[in-house]
Amino acid sequence: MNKQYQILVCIDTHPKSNVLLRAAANKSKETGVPWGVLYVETPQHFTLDRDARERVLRFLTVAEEMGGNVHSVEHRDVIGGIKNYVETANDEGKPVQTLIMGQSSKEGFFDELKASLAERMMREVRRFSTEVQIVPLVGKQYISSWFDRLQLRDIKLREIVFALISVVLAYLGSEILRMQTSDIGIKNQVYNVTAFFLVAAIITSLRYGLVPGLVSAVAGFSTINYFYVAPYGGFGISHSGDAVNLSVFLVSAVIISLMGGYNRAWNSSLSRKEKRSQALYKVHRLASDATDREGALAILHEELSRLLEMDIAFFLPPAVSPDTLELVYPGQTDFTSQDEKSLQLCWDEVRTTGHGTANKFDSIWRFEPLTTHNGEIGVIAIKVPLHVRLDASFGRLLSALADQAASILERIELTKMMSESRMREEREKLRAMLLSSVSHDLKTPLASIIGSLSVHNRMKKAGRLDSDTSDELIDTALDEAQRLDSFISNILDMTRIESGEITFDTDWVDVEKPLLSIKKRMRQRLANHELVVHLFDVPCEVKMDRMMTEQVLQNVIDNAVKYSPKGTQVSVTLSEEEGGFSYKVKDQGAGIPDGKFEAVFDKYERLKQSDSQVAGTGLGLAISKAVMEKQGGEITARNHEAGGAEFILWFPHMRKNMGAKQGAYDKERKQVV
Amino acid sequence: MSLEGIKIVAIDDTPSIRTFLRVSLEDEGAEFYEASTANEGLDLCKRIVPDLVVLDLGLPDIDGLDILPEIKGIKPNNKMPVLVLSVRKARETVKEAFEKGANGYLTKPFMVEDLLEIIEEKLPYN
Repeated sequence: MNKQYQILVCIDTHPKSNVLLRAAANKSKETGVPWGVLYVETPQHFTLDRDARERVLRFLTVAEEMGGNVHSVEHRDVIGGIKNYVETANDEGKPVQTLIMGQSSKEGFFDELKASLAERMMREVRRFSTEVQIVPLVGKQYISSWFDRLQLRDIKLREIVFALISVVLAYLGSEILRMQTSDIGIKNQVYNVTAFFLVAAIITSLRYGLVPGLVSAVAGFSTINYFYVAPYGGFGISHSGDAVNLSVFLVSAVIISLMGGYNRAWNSSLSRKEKRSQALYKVHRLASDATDREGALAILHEELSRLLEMDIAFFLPPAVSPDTLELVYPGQTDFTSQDEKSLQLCWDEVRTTGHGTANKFDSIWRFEPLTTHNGEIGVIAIKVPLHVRLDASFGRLLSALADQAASILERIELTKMMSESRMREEREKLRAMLLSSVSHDLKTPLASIIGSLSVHNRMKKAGRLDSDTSDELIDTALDEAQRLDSFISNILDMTRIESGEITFDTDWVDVEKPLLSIKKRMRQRLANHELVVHLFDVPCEVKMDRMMTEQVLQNVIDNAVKYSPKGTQVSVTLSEEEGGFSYKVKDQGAGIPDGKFEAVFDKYERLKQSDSQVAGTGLGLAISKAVMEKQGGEITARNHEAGGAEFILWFPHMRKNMGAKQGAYDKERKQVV
Repeated sequence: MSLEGIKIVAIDDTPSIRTFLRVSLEDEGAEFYEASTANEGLDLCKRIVPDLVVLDLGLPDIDGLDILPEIKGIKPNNKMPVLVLSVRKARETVKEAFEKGANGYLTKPFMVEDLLEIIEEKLPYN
């Protein structure tokens, strides 16, 4: 196997760790061997103060920017972590050629005695033929103050109360023991009761970590001192034996609290990481289902906020000016001017800025650029609250999240663009089809008219025109001229309705009046069909635009005639329906094909079909629909039981009335029926 | 000009077009047959074997251009004379029609004189 050597630099929270990074980068440049940085995350990491944790994040980010690979491993101690890494790398055929470590300058007697980490490491990795290079670091290793280590900011009241209750319970337990037993030895021996308090301290520290554990220890110590050590009922120790006992108790309780604190930090970091990887998967799955940008952002925002337990904000460039940024989710943030500066820097230079980065302007927000292979599409901002215990992989988690969010947002954008361009194409195609159909429909009747009249002319000149032939030719021309006229009106109507040019003039109109004029107007069209009208039982009026409604009725009846065999009936039924009024027009044709009940009103529908056996533009029903909707009503189509098509024109407002006009009405009515 | 005894089949889905074609061509002495769909027209041509076919392109069942080669083949050596009448005037369409064997192409609308002239000048039975 080909060995790919690497240079590894180990960093900790030492403020000068960047010196190590530079050493590694330089060495890599000299030798051409790739370099990586390793941070071992031990349980102690979680007791570091906020600054130290942020410093680690920053070093890792800087390392990445300098071209190093970033590794962070978890281990109980640093030596073990590094050794593990070196071993694994060796097994994988990527042995560590040089291991660079820092060493603080030794000051004072104790430091001289203590073998440094680097020296111990040298012994550990000797067998891997790894060269250990020690870089002296100026200044003492940063040690966080006791106050910081206690992480008082993280302490919750609930945990302290728990600690105190545990001590109370321990006290009750020991009192019960003392009451139950008659053994005077047990009653009076302090070390018997200390066990109860030790248990209380163990449980508290395991459950809530260091500080509550210490509280429990101290409270236990005081309780024992007060109640069980002479002088009873007061603090103070009169026997030296008790002093030893109590001291042992206190020391064990404190050690246990420390261990419990580490243990808890370790466990919680493990469970947090487990939770993260599950949540990452969930975020991906949920956001992948989103079909629009707003939906995806809402899901991403909700899931990421929950996952990180931090505030999240998305900044994307607005459509109008793609070079600037705009907060798109959520509605607002509490940015300071420093935050704004970091945000702008992140966007301008396409790199992580803000909290935990080399160029932070004292910001509690961290800004990650959202990038895809097509470039930068926005910025995600994460508010890192003061109490959060960041782990070393936090920075990489955020970039992974940013990448995921970016790819989801890009996918949505692309899908949208694709469907928009598809729709545009479709519209263009329909427009082209409409144009060719319109020119066909205009030219065919014209061809008949010009043809018929030119034949008429020619035969007349030749003196061969008899009157039957003349009539036939003239009638043909006339029919076609009328067809042309109705076609042109249809197109104009459609255009005017669509552009809103036609204003509707609705008024109360007697429902039978439109039928009366249609019967007159369509006499010729109805020559081969029988029009049957079923009237309403009482006179009534409907709110409608009379002219337009007549047009709709005419279109629908014309349609019925067109699609049903000669000699059959076309019926119009007037009825009260759903609080309104309707005309139902039925024919005895073949009916409407299944699934086309909506499509018949689509002005493009006829264009989509290749056959056009029945003359017409296919616009009549589209116009009817537009007209009915403008009047607040609707038109629907279905097939009736006998099989033919049925069109229903429905108007929302009707009133029954006109007793006075009954006479005149009856007279007119006879004409309708 | 006389079309005496000449058999003509017109395939067009518009009744009024067929009407004036019938009146004018019969007036010139032709025997006139008509069909309103491509399939009907093909059957009719095969049965009659006319001297000339007048073909519309926008037919409801099959596009006229698609049945043109078959119509041409009704006479030996693809010699059936076909005159295309259509509202389509795109250059590609006209070119395609000629490539498929059309003997003439007349765009609608037209005067009857144009039709008779093109029949007289261009058709090979003369």
